[in-house]
Amino acid sequence: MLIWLIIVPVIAAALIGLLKTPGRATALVSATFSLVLGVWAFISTTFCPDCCIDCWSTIGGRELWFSLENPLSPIMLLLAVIVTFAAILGLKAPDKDAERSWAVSALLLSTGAIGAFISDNIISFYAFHELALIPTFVMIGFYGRGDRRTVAWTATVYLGLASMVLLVGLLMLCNEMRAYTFTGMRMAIESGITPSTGLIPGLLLAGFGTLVSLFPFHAWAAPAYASAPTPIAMLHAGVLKKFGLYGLFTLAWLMGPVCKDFFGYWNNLLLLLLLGNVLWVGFVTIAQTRLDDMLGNSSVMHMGYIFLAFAVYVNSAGSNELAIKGAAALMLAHGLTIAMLFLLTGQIESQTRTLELDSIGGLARKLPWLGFLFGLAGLASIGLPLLANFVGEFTVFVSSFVGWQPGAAAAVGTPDALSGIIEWLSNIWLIGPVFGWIFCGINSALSTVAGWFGGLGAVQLTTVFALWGLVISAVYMLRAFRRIFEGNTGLAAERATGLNSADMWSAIFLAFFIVLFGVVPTLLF
Amino acid sequence: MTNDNVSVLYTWGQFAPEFALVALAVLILMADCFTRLPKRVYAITAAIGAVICAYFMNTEAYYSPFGMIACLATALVLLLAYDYHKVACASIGGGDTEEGTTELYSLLLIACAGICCLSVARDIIMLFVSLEVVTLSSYVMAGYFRRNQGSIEAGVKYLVLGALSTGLLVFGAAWYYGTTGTFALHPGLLADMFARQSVEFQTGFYLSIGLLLLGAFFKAGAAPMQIWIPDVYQGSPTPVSAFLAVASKAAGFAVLVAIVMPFARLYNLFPDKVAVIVSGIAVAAAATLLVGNLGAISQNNAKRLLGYSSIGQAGFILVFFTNIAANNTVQCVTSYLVAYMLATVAAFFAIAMVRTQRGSEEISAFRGLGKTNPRTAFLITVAFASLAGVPLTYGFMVKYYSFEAFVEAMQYQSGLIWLLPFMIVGAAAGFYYYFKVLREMYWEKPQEGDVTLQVPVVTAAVLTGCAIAIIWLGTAPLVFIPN
Repeated sequence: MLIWLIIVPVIAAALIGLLKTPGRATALVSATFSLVLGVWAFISTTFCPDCCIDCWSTIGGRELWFSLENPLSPIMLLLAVIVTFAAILGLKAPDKDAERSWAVSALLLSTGAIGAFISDNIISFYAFHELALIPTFVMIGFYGRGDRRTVAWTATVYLGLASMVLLVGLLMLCNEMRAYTFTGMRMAIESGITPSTGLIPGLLLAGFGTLVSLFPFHAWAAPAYASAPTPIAMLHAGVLKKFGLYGLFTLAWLMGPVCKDFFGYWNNLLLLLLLGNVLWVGFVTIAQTRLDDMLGNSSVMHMGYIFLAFAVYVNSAGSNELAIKGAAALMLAHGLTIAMLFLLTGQIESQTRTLELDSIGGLARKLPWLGFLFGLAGLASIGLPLLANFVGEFTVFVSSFVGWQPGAAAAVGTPDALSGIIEWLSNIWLIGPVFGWIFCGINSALSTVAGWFGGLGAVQLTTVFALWGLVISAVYMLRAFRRIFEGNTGLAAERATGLNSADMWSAIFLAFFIVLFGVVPTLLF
Repeated sequence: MTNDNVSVLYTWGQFAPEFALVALAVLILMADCFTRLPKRVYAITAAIGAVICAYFMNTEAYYSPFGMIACLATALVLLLAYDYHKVACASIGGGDTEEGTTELYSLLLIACAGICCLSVARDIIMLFVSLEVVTLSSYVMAGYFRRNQGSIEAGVKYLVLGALSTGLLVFGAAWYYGTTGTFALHPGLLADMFARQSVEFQTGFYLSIGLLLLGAFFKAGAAPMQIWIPDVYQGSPTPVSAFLAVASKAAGFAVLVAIVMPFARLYNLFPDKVAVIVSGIAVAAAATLLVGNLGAISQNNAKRLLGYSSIGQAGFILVFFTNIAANNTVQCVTSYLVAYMLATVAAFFAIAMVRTQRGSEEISAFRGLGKTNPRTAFLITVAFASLAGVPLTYGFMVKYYSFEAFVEAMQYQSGLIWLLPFMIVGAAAGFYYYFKVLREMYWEKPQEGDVTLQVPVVTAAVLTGCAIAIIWLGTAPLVFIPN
């Protein structure tokens, strides 16, 4: 039955594109269908896992490469259908032609994401994601803001190259395991075949990492989101970008205990890079002066937390259930929140015709509902309790201390990518000694700090640093809220003419789920 | 070689489709002399004949995958020639006279018959003679627009470089005969060769294989024999460019299969010796990927772009030959050629249409098609997306097969890993240059005076058919589990 999630949107896109049916209306019918089917799939697999396994993955007696056996699949599917529905409900294009193009792209983009999340075949999984990049490219190039063509090309080159690296990594892994499906790979692992470490996980991390805008491969992301038309930004930042993390977690999950050997070599380097996401990009976010740039960067920054969950999961050799569940909750929550923020940004822009933080002001006076919803989404993004993001972030941070005891520091001296790079650097003529000296300094400083906290391991220490991301988020998000909505009514805010209620429903729809999963987090666990 | 050997290798009956093709070609020429039918009727007749032959190539008695590809490609090219008729008349006779267009159709059929013979050749004489049938007809066709300077230039360039490659092929054949004492390409003979002969002999043998490969590379458009491609594609009449790009390339790979595949069964016996040949092909593949894909980036002429693209795609096909130990190499090569044919023929149809109505073959002539002809633009998008290897098109599937074959090949010869970056760069560059066409269609606005293109019926039918085939073949394997 899952195939209808692919067929219906494609038919709707064909109707809009080739037969010129009304864009938003047709897409809305398709998105409603997907929403119902997706929520049903989520409910049936969550509350009654054994009820209907085969009926989802077959059609008319023919077996499909789709299944929901992966525990992350239903949650990601839910995220995809909710955000798609919201994006199309809130679709507000400059003219009829644009509306049709936006609707078609949104449908194709979400089809690609959904196809990737429900694929059991690894090549389908890859292929559906790639498909979704085409509408992104065309839409940013055609309807984007600012220097749209450069942005579109940059994103295409980054993502195209990353996809190739990823494809090679996946193929090498599949070839080694002699399995081209996730299920088959799981069985291969259970039968005792172990994948070789080193190059393959490196390719996978680089490929998936670039798609999720892991530091330092993140340069494409913020400008692309800032420039993309609203529905594209919502779907790409909210849904499609989670593809990389979904892939990493799925592989780690099916490898179980083996995942520590497999990804472990790169784990310390990953910890360093994700701190780059949280802290480096966090400070960059604070410095932004436009709302869309700020949100684009904040979305990059928050990926760091989910990578942290991944590192924790790998470090625990797949035994830390809390990490993977927290990551799933956080992916869902972040997807909903960032989609809502981009949606409201589109509305702010259509009201005030600017997104410069300094030139708006006092907008809450004119548009109190908009202010309220933006505030809600902003607070959710910071991680306020009773909102969905808090559930995810809290679980992730807690999970990194699961099983940790004071004084039991991680074993030192295991070969890993980070120490390999440092050794390589310290062997370089002239620079080497200096670098080695600096490294020794950092190393002893770190172990001193770790000692103060009773011997933190690398993962726990990273968590302690990453926690500061919450503060950074609060700084830029609250400051943005203050500049846009509070204070004296600025010139731009004067232009606001008021929103009709139809424009609000889409945001309220998203807000409902953010509150729902914040108040009843057990739905996700 | 004695008569006995020939009868062992071939039977007269197995060449029935080829004879039929040549007979049809002659019939068309005769009919043109003695009747006054509109010339375009002959194009349609020839296309139907080629399709019927393609059908027989797929039956057990005449089974030949490369022949089938060649026949289908020829049929499509004939339809393209039918659509291109107006430009052809102006460039051949001058003005509206149809004089002298029929010969093009029968030349296409004769060349096609040559490719079909080639694809069943099991010895070098047959290989050489049928290859020359293809090549000689192609020389004439490339220079067919005698009132067009570019076409004449293309014909001459093709002739000169083609003669060089023929020379290399003959030289290689001589060495082959000298070292092995036979013209037959047979695993048993080669095994004897490796087992019994001295190192000096084997060096001569490698030289012969190298020269034969160079001859095949010329047709297939692989480095270092790719130099002719951009100029000849750009200058030749568009239908002829399409023929060279698809059918003639299939011929090149048929030759390559005939030369290389006998070694496949020797991999277990003589891994080191076969590895020499595989490494040689890998080097050529890397060079081809680099030259084709990087050269394409800066192109502004659509036909030239497709020329470089054909080089780049040949690189990906060559990668299959690094994995000759697997028993599905021929199948992979033909799949790739089918995918390439569907997309490339569609692209040439689009170019011909734009050339006829907007008078230009530059990529910029596609500007604004997304606005003026959205449906056609979508079909063209599918074709170029397939060339670039966008998922859910057949082009992606075959590019994936290429990567898969490479990963498998590394099990036998792990030293080949250096080829990987070339493949990645090639595939990523493809996204850039194929999308230039999409960018013109969707990002650029139509200029003043750009009217909606009138899409001819044949073009519309072929574009739609290709798009459906590309999407279906690209999607089905990813959705349904094979029974």
